[in-house]
Amino acid sequence: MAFSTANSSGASGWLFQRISGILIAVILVIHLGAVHFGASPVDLGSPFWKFFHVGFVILLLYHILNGFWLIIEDYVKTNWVRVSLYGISWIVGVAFLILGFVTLVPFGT
Amino acid sequence: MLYRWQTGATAWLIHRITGAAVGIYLLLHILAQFGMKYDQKGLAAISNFLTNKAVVVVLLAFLIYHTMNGIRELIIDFGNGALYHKKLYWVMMVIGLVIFVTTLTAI
Repeated sequence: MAFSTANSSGASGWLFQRISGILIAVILVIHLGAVHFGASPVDLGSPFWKFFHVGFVILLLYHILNGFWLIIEDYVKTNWVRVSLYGISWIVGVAFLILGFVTLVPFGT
Repeated sequence: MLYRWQTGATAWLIHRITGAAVGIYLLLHILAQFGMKYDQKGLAAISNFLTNKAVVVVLLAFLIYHTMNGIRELIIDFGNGALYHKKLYWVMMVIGLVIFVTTLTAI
């Protein structure tokens, strides 16, 4: 096996899935209150909300793609398919990070 | 996969399904916002899907489940929740249901 995706115990992934989950839960409530259910709209073009949402996107992408990876690990047994899906996850992550960035950074301009 | 239909395993399986669904929703949310910012008319269909009331109701249900069970998992992993995880599950579900009904009145 030239390349294995099972090269670590997964303990750090386990811990960071929990840390990111806690942060996302807190940020999500603020996001929903400020953007979707708020009484008065906030200025999403302000530096605070830009940083807030860029951070939110990074945490979300990590949590979502690590979650997908946990599912892939359980159901996909063929090594080359797993490795391919691992690569695709990274491409999706980077692509959505760029999408989020180019949407949020020039927001309000 | 071998599934055992007990509280913990079922909670875990629903956690997985709701997580995958909410994950896809949020990726589409990012894509739709990008489409709005750069006036991509082709992405308007995604936006319409995401703001569809039935979709929003399902999203809220899934999101609240995932959050409530996630908090339960934290209590099990970092507290002593393993001793009472079944009871804890139903307590979290009741709290989640209250939050769900409250948010329904706001949409």
